[in-house]
Amino acid sequence: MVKLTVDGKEVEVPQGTALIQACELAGATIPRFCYHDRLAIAGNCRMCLVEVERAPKPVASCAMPAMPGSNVFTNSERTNKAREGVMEFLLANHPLDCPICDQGGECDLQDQSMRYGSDRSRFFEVTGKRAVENKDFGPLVKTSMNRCIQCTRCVRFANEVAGVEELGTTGRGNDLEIGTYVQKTLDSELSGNIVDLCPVGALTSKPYAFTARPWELKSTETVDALDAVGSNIRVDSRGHEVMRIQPRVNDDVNEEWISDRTRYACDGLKYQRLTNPLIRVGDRFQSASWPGAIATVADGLSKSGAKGDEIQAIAGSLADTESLVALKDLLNKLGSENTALDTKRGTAPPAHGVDHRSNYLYNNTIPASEEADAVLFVGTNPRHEAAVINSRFRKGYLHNNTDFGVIGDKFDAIYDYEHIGVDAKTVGDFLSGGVKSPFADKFMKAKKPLIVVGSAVTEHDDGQSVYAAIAKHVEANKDRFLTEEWNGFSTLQRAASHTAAYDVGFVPSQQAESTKAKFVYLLNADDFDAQVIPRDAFVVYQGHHGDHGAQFADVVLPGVAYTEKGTTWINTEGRAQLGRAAISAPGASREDWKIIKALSELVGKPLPYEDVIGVRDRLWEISPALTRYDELESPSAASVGLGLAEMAKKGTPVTSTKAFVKPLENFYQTDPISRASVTMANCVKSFVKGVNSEETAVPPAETQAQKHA
Amino acid sequence: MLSIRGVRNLARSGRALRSISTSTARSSDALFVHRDTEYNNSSIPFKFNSQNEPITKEILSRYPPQYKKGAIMPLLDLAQRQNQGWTSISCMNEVAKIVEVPPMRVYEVATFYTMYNREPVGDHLVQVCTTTPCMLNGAYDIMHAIEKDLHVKPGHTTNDKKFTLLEVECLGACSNAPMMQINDHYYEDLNNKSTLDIINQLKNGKQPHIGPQSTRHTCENSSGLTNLTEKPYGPGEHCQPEFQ
Amino acid sequence: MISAALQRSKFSLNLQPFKRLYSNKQTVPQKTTHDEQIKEHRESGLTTPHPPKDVLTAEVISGAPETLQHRQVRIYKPTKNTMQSGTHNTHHWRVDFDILQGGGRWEHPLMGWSSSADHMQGTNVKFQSKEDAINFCEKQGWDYFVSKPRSPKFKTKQYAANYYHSPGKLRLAQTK
Repeated sequence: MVKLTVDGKEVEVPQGTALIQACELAGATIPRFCYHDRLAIAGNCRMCLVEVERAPKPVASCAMPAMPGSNVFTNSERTNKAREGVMEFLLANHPLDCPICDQGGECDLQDQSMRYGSDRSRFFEVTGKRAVENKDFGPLVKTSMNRCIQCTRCVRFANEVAGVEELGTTGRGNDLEIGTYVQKTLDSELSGNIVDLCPVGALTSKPYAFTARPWELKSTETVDALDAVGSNIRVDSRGHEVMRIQPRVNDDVNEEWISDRTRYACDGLKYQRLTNPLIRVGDRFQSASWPGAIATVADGLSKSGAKGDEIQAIAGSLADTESLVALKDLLNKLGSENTALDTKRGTAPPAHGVDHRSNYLYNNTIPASEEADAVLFVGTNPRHEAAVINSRFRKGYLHNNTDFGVIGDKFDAIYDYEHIGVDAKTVGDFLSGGVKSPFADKFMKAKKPLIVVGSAVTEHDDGQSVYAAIAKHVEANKDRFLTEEWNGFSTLQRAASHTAAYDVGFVPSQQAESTKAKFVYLLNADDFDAQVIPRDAFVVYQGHHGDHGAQFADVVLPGVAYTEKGTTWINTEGRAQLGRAAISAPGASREDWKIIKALSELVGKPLPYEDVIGVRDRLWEISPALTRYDELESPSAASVGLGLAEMAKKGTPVTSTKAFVKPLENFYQTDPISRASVTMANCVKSFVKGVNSEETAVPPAETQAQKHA
Repeated sequence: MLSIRGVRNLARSGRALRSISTSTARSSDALFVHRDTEYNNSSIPFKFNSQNEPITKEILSRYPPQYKKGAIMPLLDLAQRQNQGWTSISCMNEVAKIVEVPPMRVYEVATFYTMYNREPVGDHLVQVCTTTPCMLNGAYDIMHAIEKDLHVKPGHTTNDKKFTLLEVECLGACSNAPMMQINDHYYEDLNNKSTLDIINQLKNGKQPHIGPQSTRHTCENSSGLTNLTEKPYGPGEHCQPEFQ
Repeated sequence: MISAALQRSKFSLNLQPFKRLYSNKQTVPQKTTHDEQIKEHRESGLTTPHPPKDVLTAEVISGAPETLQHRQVRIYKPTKNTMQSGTHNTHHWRVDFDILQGGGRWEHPLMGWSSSADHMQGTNVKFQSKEDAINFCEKQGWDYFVSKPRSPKFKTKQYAANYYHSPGKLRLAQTK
């Protein structure tokens, strides 16, 4: 531990801390542009200069390690003069764009110039300020490179965290330009984070451009539901619309990053919304009132003559825990066990079973993913399914010498991996030591091995055998996989509702799988195959977007989206997080569990809860873990062992040579909200199909006109 | 624009006069972004030829196997030499492949250093030094002479693609000012006549005399040596008796 | 008014498992401080929930509309804006109302402004500490949920890390 004095206050910091960190721990605020906690230290902005006693020059506190016994002054005259000088130089070539710059109001340069800038300029060059070309990074990031102060935060982010090593600095001195040199879009699913990182308005959000100022926005801290990571977000809304989504810091889940889909799919909340209950008359939908619609549903239920397991419920990826519980309770009261998910084999009991929580959770916990030695991905594409967790794997790859192996579809990864095979049989071969390769060696000897099983395994015909093989291997190597501090068996879910559904028991029984449904209740379900719903069944769709599921419905009940309800979301680790409603629901939509409660009263099986606290009481009854918010309760090694034993019992040796099928076609359009989003469509055009974004992006003005038309 | 009397009046009236400064507009002869053209795009293949392949291996052997990126600069230079004196985007991509780094790292190196020409140059790259010592000795006259003879401005190539004229910074041959560098050779102690002589010889495909174009051999005193006139003493000479 | 309060407390008495998290309304008078009571209860070895706090709620006295008692409130520490490096707005605790179901916002038919039936939508109260915020909410009789504040984990950073030797394959071509 190193002891030093900062501004007269003595502070003790661990060996190797940077001086800027020591000063922050002592309570002094040091202005900075290029230093960022989660990126490498560059030391090129010189704004963090502090005066250190007996040092001949001011010292860049980000680059200087804290030396024992040093006396640092962060507010002395020399320090302030240095900062004012740096400020003046930065502003010398900075364009006077504040009125038109999106970063105004949340700009580091503005804030620091309030303290360290001069009120008058000494810049009288006839030749004018430096001008730099704007680069095209795609439909998400808008660049105005005139404003760039060359802090290189974006370069370091793209290099280290996002893994797309395409950003760099070309030229030198005054001609230094940040860009990709050759025209390339920033093909990363974490590219939106460089908009946050840029301290000035050089990189801004293209969909959000020129729409709002930060002081007009009301922030609501909530949780993301578009993937299973449960990234903490802050929804900024103005009036009745969501303007943008920003990340929140949570070192245990998403650090400070959110994926592009989480960030930019919010404009899908405005289009194709279901706002009124609809009843199908012939081949058209007619608007109805709530009592009328719910009465029609109750009517349909009794007329269809469905009894027991013939009443089916299918839940989608955006269903919240409260409504899952309410719907399951209702179905159970009606005598049915046929609660299914809308995934490929969702109408069958899942391969991993829901009796033991550790079988379907990401047991390893997200922060520990970066400590693994060797990671085996089975049937998953973490880059698309959980982009933020993928950045942890890259951290492990860079700093922890982690090696990766993939069994399943080959995917473009931000780390080097060995592609071992594509089908289920390879899993058995690899785990029994049948594959000879450097990765296999490392994996079999690793002190902290990790197996990440994806949803493609659950959706595979032979999923049970794959799980059994993996369970047997983990049990056999318990000393490495299941120790006090390390749990090497994790399942990566790809939808926000799946973990909650498994926790709550929203899975069909064996008997229910073979029953033909006469009444189907779709709860935000849009990814199912059309064959799953029998032609003559009475279908009710409850959701917020008119997507795939609503077409099948006889009655459409409008629910609300994840930004409009304060509900519980369980992320893939099993961490319960409470979302918060940012804006209110459009039109006549109601909260999902309330719709189910109203329906329950009309069908004569009223649910016992009256308000959301009652529903959460019920959640507590089912599993107290569902209401222990923000904490993660890791299963003990013994209970994990029990779960594995059960899985190992079930399966036969893996023989299927059927390949694992990628569950997500592309990263950008995976759920009704992102499918309705114009920004996501532009992303697909640019990044998936490779069409030039400038030519094909629909300008925001046009979409506004379409909305009002 | 203020007249001189107006300025004086202002100054007398006590109001501070804002000074306006003008530095020379810096015109760069290079773009720091790449634009695809028919002669310079990534679909044009580039590979090191059979003569340069072994040199590539030798260069790579100088660095530890995991730090191949140290070889970026020599390999780029080799690629430039093979590619008629300029580094195309495909050269950079090829070097990136050999060195196993993302291409952007090679682009960064190639754009940082001015000697990596990213646009095609003529057969003879005429670089005239115009820094202080050379300028005092008449570098601009040399420059004008070449311009008039070849009908090019600095930064441009002649129509027959034989000569590219560049105005460069100090080449480190100040005692032989004025001088110019053509490809890899220095031609020093120039005057207008010798400059045009050199250019004409190159036009005719002959190799001019490299080095000082005057009577000097290198940079020695042209009117005879003033020091180093006798054999320098070496080990064992001029020492104390015990060290003889 | 008072009967309504009693009514609500009976209602809250039904919510046994959740009282701790959501409502702490209890009308049994207690003599020792709440912390002392908890300490006593811990030492007693019982496995029942801790005794709830006795709070004199201000609902009758405060003059606030009765409907406010049915609204939920979030207590949280505002997160740092990720666009900026300044942390000035993150040192206090905020008490904020959850949106009113059905009365939130809609577009004004004439001018397109955002109309709202929620009179508390723009109201938030700042506190210096979490306990202050909780005490305030209990006194006002609001159901509250406290969000755990998150601050980044401390990790030492060294400039020299840019130059560490890589014994195996170089995984990151270090640049700016």
